[in-house]
Amino acid sequence: MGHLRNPGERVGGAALAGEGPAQRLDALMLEHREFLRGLARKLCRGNFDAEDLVQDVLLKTVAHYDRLPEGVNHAAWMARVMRNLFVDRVRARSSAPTPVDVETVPLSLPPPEERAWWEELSAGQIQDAVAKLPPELRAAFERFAFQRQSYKEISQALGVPVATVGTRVLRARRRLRALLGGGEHDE
Amino acid sequence: MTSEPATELHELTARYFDGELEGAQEEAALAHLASCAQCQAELGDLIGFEVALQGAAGAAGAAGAAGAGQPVAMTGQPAAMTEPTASTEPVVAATASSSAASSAASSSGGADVAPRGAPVLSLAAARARRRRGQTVLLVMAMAAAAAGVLWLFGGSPAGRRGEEPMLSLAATRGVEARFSAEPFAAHRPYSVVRGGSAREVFPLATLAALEREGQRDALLAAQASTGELARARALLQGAPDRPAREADLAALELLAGQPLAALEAADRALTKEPRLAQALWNRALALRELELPLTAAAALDAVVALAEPGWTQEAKQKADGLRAQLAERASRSQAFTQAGRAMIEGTGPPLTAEDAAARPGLTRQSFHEALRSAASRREALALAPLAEALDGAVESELARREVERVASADFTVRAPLALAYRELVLGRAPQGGPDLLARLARAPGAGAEDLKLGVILLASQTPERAAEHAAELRRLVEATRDPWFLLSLAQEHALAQQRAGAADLAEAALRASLASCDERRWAHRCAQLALHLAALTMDQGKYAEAEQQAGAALRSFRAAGADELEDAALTRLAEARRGQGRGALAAATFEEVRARLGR
Repeated sequence: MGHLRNPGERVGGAALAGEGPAQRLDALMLEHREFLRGLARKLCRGNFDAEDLVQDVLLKTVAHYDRLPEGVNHAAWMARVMRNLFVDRVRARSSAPTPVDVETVPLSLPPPEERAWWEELSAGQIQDAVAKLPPELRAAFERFAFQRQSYKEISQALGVPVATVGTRVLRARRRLRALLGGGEHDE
Repeated sequence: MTSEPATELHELTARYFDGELEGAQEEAALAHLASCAQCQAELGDLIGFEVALQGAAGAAGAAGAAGAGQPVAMTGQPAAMTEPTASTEPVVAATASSSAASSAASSSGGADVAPRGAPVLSLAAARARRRRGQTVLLVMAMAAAAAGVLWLFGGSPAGRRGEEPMLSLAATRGVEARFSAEPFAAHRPYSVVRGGSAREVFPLATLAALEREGQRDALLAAQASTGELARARALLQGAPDRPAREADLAALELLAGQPLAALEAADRALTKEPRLAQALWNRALALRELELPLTAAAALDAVVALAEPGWTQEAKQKADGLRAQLAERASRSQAFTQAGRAMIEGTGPPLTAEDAAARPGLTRQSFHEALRSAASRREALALAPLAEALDGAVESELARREVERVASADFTVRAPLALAYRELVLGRAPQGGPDLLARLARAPGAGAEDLKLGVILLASQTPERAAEHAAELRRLVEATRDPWFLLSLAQEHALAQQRAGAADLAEAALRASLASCDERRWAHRCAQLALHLAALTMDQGKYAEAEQQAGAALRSFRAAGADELEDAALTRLAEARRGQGRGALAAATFEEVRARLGR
């Protein structure tokens, strides 16, 4: 492995005791692991091993740490890796033919220079965008996103069917995406 | 949103992600996701919202790896509140093994996982540790503590799922100012981070909850700590007019780099509630930023007196620091004055190049006095190194040439005159000026024009004498061709016009001299001109200009270690501020003058 110039060289073996990337990486993982775990559980549910997914993401980060651009949003980068690895798993399980689509072909690793529209959003920007939603979408989305209520809880609180809640949350997300510069998806 | 089957299928991904599907529906969602590029892309958005909503999207990128003062609680769920199935292992396995690498590759469903042979996380270890989850809670709690998370309220660190703390703060604070909100009342050490922009990060959900529950003060403090100053300020609009509101406003003004506005806000708060800790604190910081260190230290004493845990210690530390800094300056200044006097007296070595660099104006002044007082060729030549240092700073050879000129004088004639001058300048013969001038007049060939200039300059410190010698002074100064003296002549000239009742001409002359004064080389003289102009404009009621000129002089004298002139400029500044009706600032400036003079 000595010929590979990647952070693993420094992470592995005795180098771990040294200063620098290993510590940075440790700190990074300590910082984001719980977020990644929560995300992995949402993705995997009972269908895949969430912990394995997290491990794979961390492993990717170890392997590519040195090649990440400076100032990259690490949580966002790892989340994108997780999405790609998860889609890989879903595809492998269903043996479905891989769709030929530029956005989905090079899975696993997001191109480092490319940023997703949501990567640099501040909490304040989201607050502003949420405030611009139509009242019924805003009510459902705030409960869902900020108060972490389930569709059912929201349905009871707002007095609308569960299916309607789902639709409103979905539409709220699409509006927000458009408001926040992520462009339009089909609605 | 339509109810077409395809659209419904597309919605499955979001519902799956939201945990709103059951068994068979989940299968259908996954089967659809596997082959739907749109849903795969939308899954990226869903994940994106999760990243953004955890409140860390921007901060994580900006801050890079978690560093000191970076709260771990910025993750969606506090570390210690997650279910106890987590790792007790270091995240990164200490040893690399190719078998681990290949096992990782095989576990990923064929995706490219890592360069073969690269050191990896040990998945075997990862699986093994899942069997020992018992200690996890403790470990995660320790991790949170190590990362500096302080749980202020809303439940224990190991709180039950769904019962998140309302507001978790890092163990250190990134904002030096204080806020009135209760959660921010407990002291946390101030951590100055490289670059000076330590920002706390709060999950959006927390901010939303604070807003929902009307915790305006806490929301303001949180927004301000995050760097969202405009949002924080907006929260003050319509807030009840209480002292705490003014104290918070003071904090915001400090963050915005407006110490004067901060001082005024803090003063308003203290008028109504004299012991309001946050106002006292923010007032002290404002005074410090306004460069009134002793007044700031006195304001910090008021915080110390409140005896609040942590804050008292920090206030004391800050006050001690400010006073120590000034004491250190004063002591160096005193040592310099003594060394200068010893040089003139001939009892000590000449001042050094370091002195010339640190206090160019005062050193030059002492150099000329010492050269005039030199009673022998040897004493004069001993000043040559200092002359070179002074010349170097102003890119001239005037001082060195003057040393050579004096050294070549006939000391059988000059020595007695020089010694008489020495007595005069050291204050041992206060009435000796006229006598020495008469002796100098009787020795026209002694090459002692420099002594004559010295005597007249000393005499000119009283207006009557200045008028008496004005013409002679002008002749002597112009003969030196030395900007150091020529610039002082401008002031003499202005004084003469003032005496003649032509203040406007005096002002014009000072302005012209100041405009052409080479600040880089002759800062001391430029500052003296500015201070003179400040006095003149004050007399004419032009307080704003007076403040500006006095402020410029103050900064210049401060930078050049001219303490007494600094006192004079500060006094002028206080008067100019009072003249403008800037009550709080004027009072604080006068307080600083008193503290300096009483030191």
